Amino acid sequence: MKEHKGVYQNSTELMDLGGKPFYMNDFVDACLYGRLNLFLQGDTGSGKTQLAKDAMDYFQEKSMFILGRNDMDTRELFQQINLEKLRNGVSSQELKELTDKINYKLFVVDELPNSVPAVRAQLFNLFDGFIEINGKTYPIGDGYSVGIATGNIGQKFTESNNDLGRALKDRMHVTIDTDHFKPNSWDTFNILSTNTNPRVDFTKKSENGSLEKKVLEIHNKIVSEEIPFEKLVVANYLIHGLDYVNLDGKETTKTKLKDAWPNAITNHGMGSDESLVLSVSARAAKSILRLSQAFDYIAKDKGLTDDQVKENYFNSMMNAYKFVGAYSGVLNDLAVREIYGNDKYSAMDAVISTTKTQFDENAPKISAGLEMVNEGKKSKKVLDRFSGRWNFMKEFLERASEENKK
Amino acid sequence: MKLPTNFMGYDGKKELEKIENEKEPENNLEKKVNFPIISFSGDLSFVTDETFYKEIINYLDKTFPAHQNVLSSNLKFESNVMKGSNTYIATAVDMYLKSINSEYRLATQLDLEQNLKFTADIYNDSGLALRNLKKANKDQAIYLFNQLRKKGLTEKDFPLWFNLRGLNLDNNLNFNLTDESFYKKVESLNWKNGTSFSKIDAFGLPKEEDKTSSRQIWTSDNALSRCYLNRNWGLDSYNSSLSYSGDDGRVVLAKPKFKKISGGSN
Repeated sequence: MKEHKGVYQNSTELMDLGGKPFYMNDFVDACLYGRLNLFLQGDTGSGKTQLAKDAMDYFQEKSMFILGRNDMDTRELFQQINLEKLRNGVSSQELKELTDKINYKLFVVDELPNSVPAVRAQLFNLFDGFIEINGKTYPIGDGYSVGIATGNIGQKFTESNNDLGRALKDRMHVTIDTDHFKPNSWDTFNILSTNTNPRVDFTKKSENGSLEKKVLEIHNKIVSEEIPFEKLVVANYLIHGLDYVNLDGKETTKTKLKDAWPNAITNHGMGSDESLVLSVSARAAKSILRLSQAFDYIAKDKGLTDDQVKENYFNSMMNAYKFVGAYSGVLNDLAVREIYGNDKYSAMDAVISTTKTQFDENAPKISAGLEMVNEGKKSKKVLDRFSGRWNFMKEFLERASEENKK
Repeated sequence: MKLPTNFMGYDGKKELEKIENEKEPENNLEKKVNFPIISFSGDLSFVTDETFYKEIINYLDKTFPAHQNVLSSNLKFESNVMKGSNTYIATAVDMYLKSINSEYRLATQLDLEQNLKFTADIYNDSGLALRNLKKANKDQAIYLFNQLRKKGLTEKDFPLWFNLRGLNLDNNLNFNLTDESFYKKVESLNWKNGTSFSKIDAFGLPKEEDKTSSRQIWTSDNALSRCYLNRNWGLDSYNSSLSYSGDDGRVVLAKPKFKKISGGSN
């Protein structure tokens, strides 16, 4: 955020939108604006904790830092968030009053994988704005809370039977492998020449004052804005289009194939996204849309005009898809290892390339389809243009034209 | 329900009119099996004879029985034209044309450039781009490059362009050089993604940047990418999906205008 200069320095670009580069701190801002939980995966000492600490400066006393430890139990966690009275047997009403008083906006959990599962589950609940006590959920704060967690779990992300990996995929909306976007030599020269204290300084407070109000204003703006239709089509392609599979001429979906994917796709050409990636869930699609909206806000803040932002809707969605999708469990890990040198981001780039081709080819048909609906027509000639992975668009346009006739 | 009137810059009204006014191609095909290709536009043509289409399918299934998913299953004969194209299909169709001594071969990028209007609103596979041996499709890239290494080429010669015409596929769909194969170092393959161009070189590839042009070259850092003339007459050389085939894909055939270009050339 322009108003806050954090300690973390990293000028390695993660993405580009309309010529505006996005860095690691922009991603943290985007997640805060979109209220998306962020997991910073990376090696020890790579700066993830400092990055999270910088985010805490936005909220100052309304942020909480928790260090993940395997000897921490839920009692200690509740003590940390001033809920120790819970252990003394309180009524539901008292409980509600207590939880209402918790007004943390940002929870930062350093080394989250060190926490035991019961504590981890409560931490995820805090990120999502509630706490679970005796099977009942109680909202905390006043509607905005978000979490940033750090950790280094490496390969465990790829083990489908791993509880931690699964929990992270379920509850963290965006995961960034910070090792992939390490600070460059310019940054490290600067960092090392000004400060040789290897610890993150939690005593130093930001001089800018709390930026909570600004973050919440941006968040409210982002969530209240109408989602551009172009982005909705992209999101639906990621949900339905990427689910489509053609097995020896038989059309089916990866969802129906269940565990048979990707092995059932035999002899398919190398590089095809049918065997490389699963479709995204509706929940992940929401995260992608939200993150893309936040990217657009930041791009505008960096100087893009409304028209330029509009021209980049597709790119914005693809970048959001890349960072929501890479560690969400949608990639075929074997293919990523064998074809992409275990680089999930490269694999996502390949899927994005194919998606771009798909949209380049189908955008004129889609625009014709939209016009067809607006004119109250239902043209077989137009609808028949959509087949295979674009069947979803045919279904939508058919339904929309029927609705318009009513 | 009111939907937007355009999508990704395309005017819905115009696109709808285009589809609604499109006429079905007339069925006036010559029925000669070995000279089946009609709908001439200059020297370019599509596969518009169903008998010939069936021969192609038969050849693909017999020659590459394990790869129907990549090849024949991606083709269909509809509205009197063969629809579908990917890198493997285009290469295999060229192999077939060669095997029957047809006077036609797969169109090269230069062939396509001679009559851009012929390929409006469709995409046509014409080449491969070899940029490195590390990123997407690295296995196929290494296989292809090992053949070039024997001819004295090194990674310093990247990026390389290959015409699909003249390449051979083996049973594993690896690309093999033949005495007809053409490859060339082409700097534009490493231009910034989306660079505009208007002039082409002697091989139909972008020659110099032209910011005023609406034609663009799309690039990436894949090890091996498919290259095709896209529906907007841009040159797509960024795509790692060699096997994707869409209804908008057409295998374009051409009567070679000049003697075959043999061997590699830089």
